[in-house]
Amino acid sequence: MSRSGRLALPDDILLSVDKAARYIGNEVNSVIKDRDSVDIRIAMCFPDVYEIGMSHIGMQILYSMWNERPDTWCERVFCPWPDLFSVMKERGIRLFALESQEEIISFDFVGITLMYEMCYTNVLEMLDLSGIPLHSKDRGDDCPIVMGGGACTYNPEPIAPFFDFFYIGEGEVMYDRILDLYKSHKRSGNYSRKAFLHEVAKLPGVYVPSLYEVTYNSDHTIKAFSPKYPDIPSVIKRQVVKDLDSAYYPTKPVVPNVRAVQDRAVIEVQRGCIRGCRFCQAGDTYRPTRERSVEKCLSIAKDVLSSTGYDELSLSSLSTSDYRELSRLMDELIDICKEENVNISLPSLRIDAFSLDVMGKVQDVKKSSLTFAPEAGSQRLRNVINKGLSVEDIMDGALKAFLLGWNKVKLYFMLGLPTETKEDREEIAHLANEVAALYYDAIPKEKRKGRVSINVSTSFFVPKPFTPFQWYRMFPPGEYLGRAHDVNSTIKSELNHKSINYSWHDAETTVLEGVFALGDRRVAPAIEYAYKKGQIFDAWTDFFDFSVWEEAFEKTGIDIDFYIGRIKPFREILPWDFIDCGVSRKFLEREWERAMEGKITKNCREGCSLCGCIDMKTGVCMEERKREGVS
Amino acid sequence: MSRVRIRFSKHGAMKYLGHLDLLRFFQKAIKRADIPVAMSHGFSPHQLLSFAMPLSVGLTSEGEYFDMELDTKESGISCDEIKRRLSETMVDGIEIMAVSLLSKDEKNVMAAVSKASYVVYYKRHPNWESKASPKELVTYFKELSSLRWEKETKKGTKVIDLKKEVSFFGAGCFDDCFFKAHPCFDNTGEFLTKEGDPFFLITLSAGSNNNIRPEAFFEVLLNDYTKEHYTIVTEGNGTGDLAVHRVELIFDR
Repeated sequence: MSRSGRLALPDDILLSVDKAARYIGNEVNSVIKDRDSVDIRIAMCFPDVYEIGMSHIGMQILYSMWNERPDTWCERVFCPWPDLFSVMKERGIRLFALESQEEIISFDFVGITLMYEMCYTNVLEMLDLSGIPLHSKDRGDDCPIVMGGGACTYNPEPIAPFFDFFYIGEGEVMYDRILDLYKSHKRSGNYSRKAFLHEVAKLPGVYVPSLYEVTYNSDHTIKAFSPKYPDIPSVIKRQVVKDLDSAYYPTKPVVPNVRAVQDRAVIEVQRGCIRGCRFCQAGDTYRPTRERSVEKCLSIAKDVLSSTGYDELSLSSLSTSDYRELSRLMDELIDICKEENVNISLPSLRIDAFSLDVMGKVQDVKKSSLTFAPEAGSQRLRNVINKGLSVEDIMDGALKAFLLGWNKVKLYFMLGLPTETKEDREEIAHLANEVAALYYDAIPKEKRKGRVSINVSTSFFVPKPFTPFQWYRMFPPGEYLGRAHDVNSTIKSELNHKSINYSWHDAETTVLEGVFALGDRRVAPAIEYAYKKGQIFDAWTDFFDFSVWEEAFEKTGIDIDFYIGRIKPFREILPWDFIDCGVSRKFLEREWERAMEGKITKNCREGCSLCGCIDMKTGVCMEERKREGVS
Repeated sequence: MSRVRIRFSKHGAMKYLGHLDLLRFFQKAIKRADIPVAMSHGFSPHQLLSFAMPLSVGLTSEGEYFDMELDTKESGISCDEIKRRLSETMVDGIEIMAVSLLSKDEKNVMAAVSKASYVVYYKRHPNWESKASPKELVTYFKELSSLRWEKETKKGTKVIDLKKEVSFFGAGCFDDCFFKAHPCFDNTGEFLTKEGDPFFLITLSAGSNNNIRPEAFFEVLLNDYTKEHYTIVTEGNGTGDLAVHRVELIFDR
């Protein structure tokens, strides 16, 4: 079906903004339906720019899945870039969906993907441009239902007042029932959003913030978090796909017209991670690890390649090296891709003999770099964070790679981890130096292709909900910069410092991310204040202005140290405690204690550490293996 | 090695697609259509395609071309079949108009282009009718002995006599015959032309050596004629008075 050809934005605007093709829709595989033949219209919003949003596989899954329903038309909406934002504000043009080019305020649902905390002001930008009241309580029956999903919903509280409901968990599971319920409410003839929200709140995984009451102690900590009505659940359970092979996967993803960050076919081979790194939220919130079968992955790969015409394919998962049949999958994929002239781009695999062999087959060694993520400089600290990567692993992998012709290495670390000392930070520099020295020792002068290049980068650690470090604290920006300085000055004193390049993440952005990750409902007014002062696209350093945020916290009476500046006791009620994400509170507490003792915990395949996810009866929990308790 | 030349249109919403994005669009379309395109050698092989004359964002065209080398190892594929398969995988706003086989000694499309023809017309802005009438402007241009353009280039200013770069310049009116002959001629949205509206038809030097963009030509001519400042539709400049539609590229044989 073809659309009328009318665009929401007039020609003069499209010719004056950067990359106008972001706003025209009309991509291959985008779905056009007859608006009169559908009952439900969904605007799927990604609160970042087109090129970023179009690279997000979760959005492609939900888009295709919803459009499979004959009664539903789902369209995409991305955040207008600041140049267009100001023109739309000025001229009163409302936010529109790409497919129909129609204003989304007339839609039934506005679904917002929340992938990272720094997009929160963009969420407000999108609601505001749509003409939708920012607060759920101010919306009438004719206003779309605003729903949120994605990684940030494991603590949705800082943005709770802006949403009608959140969906906690994997979208494939419960959305059909949500849409069916909505349809029946609409059909009843006397639809009211209040009644719908009350009913939808009873579905598993659905959290309607307005139906819960929070009370506070005099020290500002949460006293109680409870439903306002007896028929509303007090705990929200994360929804989990039991079987990836039968779960919906899009074989006709929309092909972006403007080059996206991920301009390639993406096959999700596995969900979850067996490793149990204690800083990693995804490692807990996607448990248990579930694999998609080799056969299913191959059939998806073939279908996606032929429907899109991509000349590159990439595998997606949290830890592809742990995919048990990776060797067979790669062999078969290499065969398919050779025939079709398709390149395979590899996600960060653990560097070992196997992955180097595969990388040598599919990548141009000269161009590619090796990536190691030791996360911490010393073995002691790596034990604290349960990162099972030893110096021997790194040296061994690097040596093999150097002998095969690689001479670029990336090393990723975090600063601000629990128990971290100056020595741990200096170890980062020593490790980088040793990797460089290894190159010069192992490769004779005549065989070297120039100097080895070691890129060290550090980010600052943000404690995240549902990790064993959720009780830990953060530090002021100045302290973080001091820690980066420790690394920098040690690198400068190393023998091979000329081969090492060091970069670090912005400290102020990190602090803000922490407030959003760990905050409660009382943070929302600060986000609204900052938005109204013009803050959008906070994830982009060009637009980020910390002084506006400092003002926002001051004016709205928020002490950020309360949220990020103190180690919280186990007894304190955390803002996200009403969510049951599968891993038990006991497990997290136990893991925190083991971290403090520097004890490592086995990965899920080596032995079950009784996190609680076995109750879901799927994935790695059902694999044949020794079950043992915790020593 | 056999080569084909593909003519396509770019209009509607797709006129906002930049040149590099258009290249990527066709690279993928050729794969979707399963055309046996020849690939370059090396570690990351790419399709052997050659595009002529990038069109500025915002301009429409029914005279876009690219050459494609075919993989001779594959069984022969006819031009009709290529056209059919590519057409099936296009989107609104890009149409495959013709596919033709090139003889061995034919120059590639970029080297072969010598001229380009355009239809240029006023956007229906308020008081657009008070603009210089195409007929008058054509007469004015024909009586000029030269039209000097100081072109800013990376190397400095270059003086060009535009009089020498125009091989045809005439005025006409949109009518039913025009719209029928140019089905890809559509203007999205608010300044849709109507029957009876005047237009210019112009053929300008084009190609890699001496390329005159119609936007530049009209800016110089209108400024010379009216002594007013006109801005012409180009990327990053939304206040243009004129819209430009490329009708055809002319090749040296």
